[in-house]
Amino acid sequence: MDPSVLTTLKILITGESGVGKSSLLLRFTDDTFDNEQAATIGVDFKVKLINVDGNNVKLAIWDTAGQERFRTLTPSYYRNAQGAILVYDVCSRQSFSRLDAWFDELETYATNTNIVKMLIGNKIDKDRREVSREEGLKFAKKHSMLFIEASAKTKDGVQMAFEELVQKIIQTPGLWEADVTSQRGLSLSDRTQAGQPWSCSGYCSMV
Amino acid sequence: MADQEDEEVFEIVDFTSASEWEVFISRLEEILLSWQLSLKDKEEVVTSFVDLNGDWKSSSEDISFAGHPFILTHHWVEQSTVTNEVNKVELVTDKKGCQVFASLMDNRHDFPFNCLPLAKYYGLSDFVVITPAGNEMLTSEDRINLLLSSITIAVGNIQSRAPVFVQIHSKSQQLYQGTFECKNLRTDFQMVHLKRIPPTCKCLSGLIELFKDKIGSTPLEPVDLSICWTYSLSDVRNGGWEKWPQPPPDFESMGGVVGNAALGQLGFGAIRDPIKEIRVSAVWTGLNEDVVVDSEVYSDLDPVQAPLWIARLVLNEQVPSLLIKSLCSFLDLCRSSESIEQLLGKNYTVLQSPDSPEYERALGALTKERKGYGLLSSNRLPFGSKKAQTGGPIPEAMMVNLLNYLFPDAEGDLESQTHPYPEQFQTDCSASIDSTWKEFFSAFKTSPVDSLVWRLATAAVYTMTHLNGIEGVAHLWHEIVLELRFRWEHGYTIPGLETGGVPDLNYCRLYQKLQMLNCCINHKKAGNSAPPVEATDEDEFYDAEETLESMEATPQKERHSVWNQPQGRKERTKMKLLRSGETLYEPVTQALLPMTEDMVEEQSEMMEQLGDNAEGSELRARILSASLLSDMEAFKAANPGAEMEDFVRWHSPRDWIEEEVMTSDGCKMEGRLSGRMQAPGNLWQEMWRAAKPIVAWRQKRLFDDTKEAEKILHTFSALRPAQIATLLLPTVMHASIHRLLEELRPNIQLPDAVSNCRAAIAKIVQIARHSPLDLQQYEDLLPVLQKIEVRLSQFNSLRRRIIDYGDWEGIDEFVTRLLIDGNVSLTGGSHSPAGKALLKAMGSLNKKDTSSGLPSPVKKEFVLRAMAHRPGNGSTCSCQKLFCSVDEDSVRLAGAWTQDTLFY
Repeated sequence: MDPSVLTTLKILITGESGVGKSSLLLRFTDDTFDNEQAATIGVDFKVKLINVDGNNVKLAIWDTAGQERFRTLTPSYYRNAQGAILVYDVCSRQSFSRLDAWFDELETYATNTNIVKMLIGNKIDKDRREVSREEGLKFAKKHSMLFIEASAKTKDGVQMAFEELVQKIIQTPGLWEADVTSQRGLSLSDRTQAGQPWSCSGYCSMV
Repeated sequence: MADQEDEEVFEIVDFTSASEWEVFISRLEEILLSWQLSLKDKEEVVTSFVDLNGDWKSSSEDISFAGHPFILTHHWVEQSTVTNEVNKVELVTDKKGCQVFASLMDNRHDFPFNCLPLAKYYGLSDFVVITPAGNEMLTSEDRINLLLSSITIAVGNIQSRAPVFVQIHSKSQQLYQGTFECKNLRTDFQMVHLKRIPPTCKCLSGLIELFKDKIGSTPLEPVDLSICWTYSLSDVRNGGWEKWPQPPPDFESMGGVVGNAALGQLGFGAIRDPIKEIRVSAVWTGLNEDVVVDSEVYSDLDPVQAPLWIARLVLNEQVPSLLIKSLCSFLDLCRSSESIEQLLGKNYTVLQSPDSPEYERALGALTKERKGYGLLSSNRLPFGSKKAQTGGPIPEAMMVNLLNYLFPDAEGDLESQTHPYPEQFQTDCSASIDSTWKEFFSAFKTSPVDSLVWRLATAAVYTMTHLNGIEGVAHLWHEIVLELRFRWEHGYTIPGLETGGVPDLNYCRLYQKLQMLNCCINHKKAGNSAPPVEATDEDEFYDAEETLESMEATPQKERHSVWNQPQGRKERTKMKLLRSGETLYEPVTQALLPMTEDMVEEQSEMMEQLGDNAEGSELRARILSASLLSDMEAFKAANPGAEMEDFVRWHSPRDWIEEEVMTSDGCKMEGRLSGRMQAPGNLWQEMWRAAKPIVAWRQKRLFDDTKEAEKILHTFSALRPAQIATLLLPTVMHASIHRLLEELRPNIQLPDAVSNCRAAIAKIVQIARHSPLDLQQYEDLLPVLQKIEVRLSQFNSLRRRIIDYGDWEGIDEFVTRLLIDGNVSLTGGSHSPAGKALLKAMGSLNKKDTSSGLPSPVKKEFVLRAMAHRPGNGSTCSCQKLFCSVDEDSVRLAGAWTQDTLFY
């Protein structure tokens, strides 16, 4: 592994089909956007190197298909993930009401008990909103998640969402250190308590 | 100090001719000063009572006298709560404020049980001891006196607040002489230890006489007395333990044919009795010589009436225990290197699928009646070798027991099974365990409680411990693999696994592999049988809601040409095909790919290797599209004439966008594919075009059950016993802690056992997730588990003993305190509940019929105290103390005699 990389984190994106999971990911990794982004078959995978608080962190992000028929394939990808992003479409009530099922799946299959969970309400650029920000906040609060609304199309919130998630993972003791013990002892324990468990500390919730 | 520095530098002070004892004294003073024991220019703070059973500390320095090395050690009790109750202890002497005198005269310091001998003899909580270094011994009177007088000088010079003792004679004898000086009063500590017991020492009256003799003058007040008589409840001395219930399990009965009950449970408990003895002391304090008579012929002292009893526990150290012993041998098994063939010979070589007619014949007869064990019995009719195979290391009857335990369904119906599997597996824990532990159990990556893997683990531990060790394990595994192969080949489901369909990655790999094998068996069974009953058009007759349509069933059917008959319909949906308007059917699809953890890892590794660029993405999509293509083909088969739009509506409903469109006829819903599905060059469209209508069971198998099953069975049969054990190890650990928790009844409050359990569980949860497994981490767990097991055995053993002689509400609390603190004071003596039980126990041990109903004490201890003018009547009144301990073969007298150094 590149010695300048502190750790590699595994992050999983799930949610109903067509809510813009792949678009969010591509906006973050390649800063591109395709209105007609092809429906993911099974799972896809992207790598991105980001810098959080002066540490280089490699992100291996698994983008899953939302279709019911692919669902049996995805549970295995929850394994050893340190972060999970649940996406819904703010213009689709149905994609929001299915979140419970997605959350249950996440709880069932995640092997890291303290996996950091984030809820993203996507497509805020569109004008026919069906799910209010408050509803999203409420869901996130209930399930101790990070919450942000974003738009892959206009870039709003995308970068912040991923950065915040990574920061939170790095600050969670025992979640990732096991991978780096052999490399170097970097103590982050002095700032493990950051904000409330459910809301982004700082700038996320201001979006 | 400052004055000395200002002195004339030219004045020469000569130390060259200092004698050896001068050097010794100055060194002694120097050390005592460095320990801050000097009371020069200081007021001593006197603590009235110090718990001598408390936390003892010590520090040591080397010192030598005339070339002989000594070790100087300061012992003291670390006081948790310092109370300045100087006034509470009213010393009769006008020299108030001396800790040593206060300690000597305080009868609350009598008979401590957990402290240094010197502290016990004199009730001191702070003192210094000089011991000859190495194996040297101080025996000559002259040398002892020389040393003592040197010490007296040093102690006087610095006004030490702690007495200084010299250890004499052999170290094990614990003989000391010492000295202390405070405000013109000097105390000499003297001690004798006699093998022959003089008659005067056997009773109180003799001792009082001796005490007064030694003082030489009449004490101010009658002699103050503390008395402690100790009785022992032990196996050796009184031959009494045999009367207690026998706690350790009886191994002899387990050697032969073992009841299945023993199979299902890991062994538990200490192998030897963890309790050595219980000592009961009857204690009297604050008596005086005028009210008590205790002579050789008569005694007022009746221990049954003593106001205070103290129960003390003496444990057997390092008692081996069953569970740990079996875990140790199991870890040895994990480190072994032999293969099954090496252990059992050629007849047990890796078996490939046998095709020989002999094999079939052997099985044919058996399978008519039994579901399994075909191969256990066929073992008598060996395939591959003509020679009849001699029995393996495990006797056949035992092996049948073991296999019945692992595969109970082979015995027949549920009713006829000795050990049926539970209907539902408890992932957390069984009812026998306190529910507060449940939360800890869900995180174990092992196997469900009492599942096949769980039973395999306990059976392997059992075999390793009680049946032929490693050879036994090899034999057992050999039979298990044969059984599994039999079940695979003959389509019998493996019992004792959760029926989830796909391997559950929350469990250990062995469990997943067995689940996978079950997937293969079920898949094969399903594949071999006729195609599943389809939802045909005829079904529509029974569908009440659409009677009209069903009437048209026949003509509908005719609409499809012979080569285009719908096939593989699973369920009707409410949707209609866009072009033909026919009902859209959900197709029968291929079973989803079951995967075990290692397969998942392999797959995601491969996915990762494809890279994160566009090409990689496309390759991944193509690899993963096999199931999509299979779905499309099945869909086309079930719905002839269907369009991609129809497929998308079933497969990815959110890609079908319906919008209200205003037409001339008014408002109407119109649907279309989403942009991404319409986009040109889209993989979905490409695949839809390529897909042929093929019903699921005619398609290329996505899941090759034969390949997977053979792969697993081959791996299984090639495993060395060490590898098998390693696969089972996490479950063995889980079962072990589970076993311990079964013993830890909810009402037991053993804080150390509980916290050790918590620590062990947390550790097991953590290391069970590690892959590859690190044996050392498991080994490191054993001491913790042993502590728990020994502690619980001690509790059980002790409780069983006591309860035999009395059961009362507080028995658990009494047993717990006795275990944890080592002693319990019973106010009310024999009249307290615990006292009653102990009295009964002692009575039952007593063979001689004495008046008190008690056996003779194993030890009698007396403390005599008085204030007296010594050496002359004009001297200051000072404290005098004699401690006497008489046991069966010796007597120890320890006196502290104080005298005035100014006024004779």
